[in-house]
Amino acid sequence: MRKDSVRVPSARRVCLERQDMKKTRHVCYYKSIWKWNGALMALPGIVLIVVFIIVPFLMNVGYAFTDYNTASDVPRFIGLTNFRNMAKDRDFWLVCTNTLKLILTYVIGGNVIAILLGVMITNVGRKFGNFVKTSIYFPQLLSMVVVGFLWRIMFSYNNGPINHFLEWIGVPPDLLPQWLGVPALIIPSISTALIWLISGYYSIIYHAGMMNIPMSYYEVSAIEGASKWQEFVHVTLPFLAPSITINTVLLTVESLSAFAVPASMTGGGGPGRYGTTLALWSYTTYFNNHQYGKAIAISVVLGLFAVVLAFIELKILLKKEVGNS
Amino acid sequence: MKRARTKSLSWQNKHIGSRILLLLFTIFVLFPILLAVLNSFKPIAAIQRNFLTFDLKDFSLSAYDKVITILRFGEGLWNTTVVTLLSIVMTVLLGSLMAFAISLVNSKFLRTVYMTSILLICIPIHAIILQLVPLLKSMGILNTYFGTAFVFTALSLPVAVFLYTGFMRTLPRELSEAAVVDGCSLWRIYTAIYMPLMKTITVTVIILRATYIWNDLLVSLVTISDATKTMLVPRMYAFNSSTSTRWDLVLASSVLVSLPVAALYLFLQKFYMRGLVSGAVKE
Repeated sequence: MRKDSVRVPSARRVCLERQDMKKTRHVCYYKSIWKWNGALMALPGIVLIVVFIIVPFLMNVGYAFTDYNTASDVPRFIGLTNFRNMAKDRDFWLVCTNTLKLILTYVIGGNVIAILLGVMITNVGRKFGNFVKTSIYFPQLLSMVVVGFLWRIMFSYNNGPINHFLEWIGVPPDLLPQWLGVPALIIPSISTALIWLISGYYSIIYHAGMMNIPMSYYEVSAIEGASKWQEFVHVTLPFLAPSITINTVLLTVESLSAFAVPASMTGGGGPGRYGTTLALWSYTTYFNNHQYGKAIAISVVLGLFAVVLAFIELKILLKKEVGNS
Repeated sequence: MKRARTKSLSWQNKHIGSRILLLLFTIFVLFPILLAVLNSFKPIAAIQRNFLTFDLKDFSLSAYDKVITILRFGEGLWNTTVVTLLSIVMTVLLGSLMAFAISLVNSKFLRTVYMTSILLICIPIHAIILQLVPLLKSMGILNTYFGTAFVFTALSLPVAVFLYTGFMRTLPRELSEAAVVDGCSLWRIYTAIYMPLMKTITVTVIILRATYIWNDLLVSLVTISDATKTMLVPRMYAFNSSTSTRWDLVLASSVLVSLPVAALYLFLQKFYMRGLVSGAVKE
């Protein structure tokens, strides 16, 4: 931080001061003179986004109501048949529950662990904190496929380090869990792997949020005789509210698009689809089973899931933010 | 910022509990990676015998040798590098231009663009991935480096715009005001004033998106079917489908694939953290 402000002294200092003084939104100031120039500058990016995200997204929604497949040239409108096929599948509810379970465990677990890590990193000071930040970020650099493979080994029944550890602390051998074999344990295991993967990134974001809390609030709470817990709940958390909002939304999207980790951890969906999420199901239905219409219907449901969840989360969390400040 | 730091300094000695917990967590995070690296140097028999021990006389490079020939590693590395570089260059250029226009010019259109790109972060990639093949095919860029790079760029732009805009909004308005008074055009403000200031945040965008693109399985698997053009991770994923998993090959290829990104991260780590903090927390 400090080095940065040395490099561009006035700029950084002014902006930091201004932020402290008033948390107003940055006002866009060049009214109409550069409207066209500005639009022109943004144009190439906008074109890419429209062509490669928005168009395929709308195409996907449209094709979900047709008998589209790679062979037929002109898709016919068939109404809700694809969705009916999907809902009739006996795995549909199982996959939906799996997805919901993954979202719940991942979003709550990820947030709690990241906030705790953030608090601890803030406590221990800069040097040690930096060391921890750098180290726990490492998993983020690995491919999801690698992460899946790694945790398949970690959780493996006979040879896995986790069961070795449990044995070592005295768990009798017949009680050792078959992590990726028992239906109830598969999703939590996947969640653990994913949280291991992202804890570094999110704790950095939370830590940064905590560094921005003005010291005076802590001074006041110390004078008032607040306990550490009260201080955390009434000072730290309210200030973190914006970061919590963003992170919750991001974690939800990530858990919805979790694909490679469950796939490589459970060898393509796990025993009896107990490790299959909506994303993975859509992929295997399309590319392995070649049921195109059904796969597209699943992916539309997935997109719907994402939009609805993001909307609900934003609604709840933004209300909390306003209420607290 | 400064005061917060003094706070942590004065507390430093009291937080032994935090230190121990953090150390344990760091070990928990690094342990699987360490195990993977160590085991990649063992023959498969030794891996199956015991995953947790390492005997020096087991040391062998045979897994690496096999991986490099089976996966045609060099070819995969070249493909991955080309696609990643193309996408990153486009992401940085177009993303920073978009963010620059959004944060400097006041127009309804650009505000809509900003809101839309934030919204797009929330859409899981699976909601669009199935249509990419017909789309790219109809444009005649299926199975090409550029086609895949375009997709990666489009997927990276919302995040890049979010980070760049967050950063540019912290820059003082006097900077560009002074330039306007001196008669600078919008392009000149971008190249002469904003570009030099964007170094840190650009490093962040590069690392964040380069690791994503380098490690991505889905897009590269779907958009490239030509065996000579596939990227590294899809090649590696082939080990998944085989009935008896060749753990030695899996581990060795994992290490090889992750090395370039890890090197990039270690090299630029300091800037990366700084930019992440300056761009991501705001708003």
